[in-house]
Amino acid sequence: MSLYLVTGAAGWLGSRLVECLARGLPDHPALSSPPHDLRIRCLVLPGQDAAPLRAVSGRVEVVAGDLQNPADCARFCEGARGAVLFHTAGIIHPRRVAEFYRVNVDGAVNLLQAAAAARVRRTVVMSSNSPCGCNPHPDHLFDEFSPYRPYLNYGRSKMKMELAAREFHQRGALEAVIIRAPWFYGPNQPPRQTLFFQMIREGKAPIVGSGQNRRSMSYLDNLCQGLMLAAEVERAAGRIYWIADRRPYTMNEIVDTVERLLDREFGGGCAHRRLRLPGLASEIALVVDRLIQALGFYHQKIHVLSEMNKNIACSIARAQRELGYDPKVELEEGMRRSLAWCVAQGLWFPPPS
Amino acid sequence: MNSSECRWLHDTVSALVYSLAGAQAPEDDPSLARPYNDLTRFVLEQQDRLPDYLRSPMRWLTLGFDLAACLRAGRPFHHLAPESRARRVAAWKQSPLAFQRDFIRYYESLATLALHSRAEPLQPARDQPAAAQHQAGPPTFPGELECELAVVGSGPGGAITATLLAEAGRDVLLIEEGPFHELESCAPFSRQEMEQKYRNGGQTVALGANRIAYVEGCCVGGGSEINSGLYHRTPPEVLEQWRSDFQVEGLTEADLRPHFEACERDLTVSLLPGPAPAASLKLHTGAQRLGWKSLEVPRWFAYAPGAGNRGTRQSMTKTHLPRFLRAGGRLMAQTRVNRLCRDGRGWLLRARRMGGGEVRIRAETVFLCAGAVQTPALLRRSGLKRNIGDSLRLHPTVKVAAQFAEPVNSADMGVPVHQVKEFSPRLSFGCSISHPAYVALGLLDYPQALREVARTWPHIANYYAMTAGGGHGTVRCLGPFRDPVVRYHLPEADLRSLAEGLRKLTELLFEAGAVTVFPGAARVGIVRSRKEARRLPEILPRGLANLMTIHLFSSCPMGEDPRRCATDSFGRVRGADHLFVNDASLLCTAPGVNPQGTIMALARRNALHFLNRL
Repeated sequence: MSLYLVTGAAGWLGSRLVECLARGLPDHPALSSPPHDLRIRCLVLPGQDAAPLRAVSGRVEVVAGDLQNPADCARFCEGARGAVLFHTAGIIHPRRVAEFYRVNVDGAVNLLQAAAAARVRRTVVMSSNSPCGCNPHPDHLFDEFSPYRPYLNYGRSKMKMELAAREFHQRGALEAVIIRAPWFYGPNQPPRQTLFFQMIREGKAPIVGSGQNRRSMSYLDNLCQGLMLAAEVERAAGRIYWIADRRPYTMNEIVDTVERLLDREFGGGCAHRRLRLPGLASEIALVVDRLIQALGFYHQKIHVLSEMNKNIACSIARAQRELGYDPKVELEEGMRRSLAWCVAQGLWFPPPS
Repeated sequence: MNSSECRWLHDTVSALVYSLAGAQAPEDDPSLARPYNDLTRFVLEQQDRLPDYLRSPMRWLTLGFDLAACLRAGRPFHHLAPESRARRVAAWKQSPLAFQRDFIRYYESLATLALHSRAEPLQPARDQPAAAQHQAGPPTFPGELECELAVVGSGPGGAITATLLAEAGRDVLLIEEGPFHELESCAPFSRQEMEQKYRNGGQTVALGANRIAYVEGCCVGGGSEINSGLYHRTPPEVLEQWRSDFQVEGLTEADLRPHFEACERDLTVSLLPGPAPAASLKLHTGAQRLGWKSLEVPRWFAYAPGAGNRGTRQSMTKTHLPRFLRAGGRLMAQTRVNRLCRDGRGWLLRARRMGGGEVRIRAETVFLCAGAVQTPALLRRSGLKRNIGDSLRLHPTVKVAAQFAEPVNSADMGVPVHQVKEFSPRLSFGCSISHPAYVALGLLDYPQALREVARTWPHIANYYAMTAGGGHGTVRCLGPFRDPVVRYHLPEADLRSLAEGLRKLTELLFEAGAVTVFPGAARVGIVRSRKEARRLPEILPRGLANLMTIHLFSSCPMGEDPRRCATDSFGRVRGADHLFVNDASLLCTAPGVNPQGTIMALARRNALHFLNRL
């Protein structure tokens, strides 16, 4: 029996991963057809709507529970001997700093303990670029040699989660593969990403500094491909892989691409302006962000602004070499699909008159 | 402090490495492409291995380099865009100030080595039962121990000494600073070998107006684990000179012959069973065409029947050390002897185990076999200074890279074996290790050729001209520093000899069919014909030649002349009872040939003399 456990299954990434697991990923020959005896067990928070997950396939079962509760984790992993666990649950924009650690660290440890006790075969842990921070110089690319340099509390919480997973792996309790992905995008996006599109159309997309800083991005299906390969490839055990689109984009390229798509394919109406801010704006935001996080609070917009002029670019060479990772979607196509989803969901907003 | 722990240092080194490696990597070669974080890690680890008196200055200079960019470009170096960084690097590389040029050269060498050795296969670390035995830890070796004879250093001199003494039934403790690694723990001449088995990661240097880079083994088996295995008996005229100038007794050719023969037997010194590598044959062909004397040098290798040239180097871990252990000797690896103190009639050795505590070893008699740099350093730290560490000699060597129309180099080329002895002992020519990384290092002064090296290296091999030289150097211990400071004065005559060697070697290589020769000296320029070779300088420009050596000796010369000799004719240290030197330090002058044959024969002679068996 092929059993997959997915945490954060009601989330942006988790729900797409469940779909890809259930239906196969036509992009990649090794992943195109799901195993015939497939079963997917999803963990969702109590109160989250599980109906869309159940609608994906009859092979999906849903467990409601909270990672912060060890009993829920044990229930989720019950009888999962030999299964693969995808840990995609996490908190990125909380209200209080302490939540980072309660969910991303303590929750992960609860889950890993339950998985190890249930003799789960392997866990693929979803991490981030944040444990490594920002590139130290403009042409730098992160890879598996990059030292930990966590970016504020989110980075620290993800680093601690990675270290915990590695510790489980090293003592032979549970095979762990760590996937680090930067900023991801794709259908089913949260409102913050839709807001980003809206700002671009209204000419309020913030460009801090020259806009030539590079950001790796990861289209959702590319990321799912990486996660699924990490689950299957034998020698991935105990290793770290960076998963992103084929190459990093400059901030200008990202905004220009969305604007061009809006103009040509999604009704136009763009203001063709940018909200240009000096590089200092991000540095000030970073200081303020540090300050309020030190007080235990968190403010999403200030946090995002502090990252706007930073280089966060990575190399996917190791994933290509060892996992056979082959990202199919690039920025324009990925953004096109995201915008099309917005339209299909009725999230689209009329062009300004 | 560990280099990688300082964020500022890490970022500056990373930016330097990206600039330096990126400049050498053609866009279309994915194996040389970014990211270079693996290179950065290697460079930082190497920086941690630098001799301690150089480590901090190098770190501060690196940070200074980063800040200096603020004056010119308004930002620290590591915040600059790649194009601006390239300009800063070029400015220092072409600076009139030597320290700025050397700074860039240091990082460029390491980045180049790391970049072009990326493809080298890595041997996984293995659980070695033998290693466990050799590295017997504190349970076997308590903080205090006693032995009749202590031998410090397990290279060719120490291993032979210890083996003969143990086989004579004596109680011998062999102490080695480096770790135990099996010969097969890494590919020969690989980056991994450099990290595992070389002292200071291969970053040792003799300071002076023209610095000379040198390397030493620092592992069980010492230099025998890392060298090419080329064997020469000591030339008779050299022995004659040592007898007359240093009044060495018992050192005629006839005296040494039984020792040479025994070593040749023990280490199966032999010629290659198959044809020599193409690059080696090129040297031989060129010499023959010019009517110069050239020969295949035998090596201490054992060849299985039918396996061709693929033999096993008969290093000390393959030969004498197993004999030593079988004879009941005790080997204590990863233990550094810091000081000798008199202790009644014998000696107290104060040592420290790597990552562990202090060890005090009491021995009736001590043999120092730690090599031409570490032996005098230990003696001087122990207050014994007369004629010790004052007369270091070496074979200054200049290299060239020669490009041929046809392939001469391959991944499994093996060790070149020919040497041109027409101008010996003053000058010898040979072919060097020519792995892609070493070929790239040989082209550091030729950026255009360096960019193409990933494609062209099969057509390129490294050659050297080595001089016996008349210079001399010193070994000194500086205050709180652990690593001794080696200085070497290279006389003008040697710069002339090296220039002559460079010229003759270049001519020879064109005679052998080379199409381009790249001399290992800055501002000399590419040579494209035999005619151009004759226009090479009469004297190497001081400070600009990239000189190196792998042969060091004579820091504690033996002999009966009390004015210049540190020991008697058989290695007993003057003015100290029960204390002997028995390694390369004893050689009175530069022998002009690969010295391990001489070192082994002398070690055997002196050990048997001690046992009254001569």
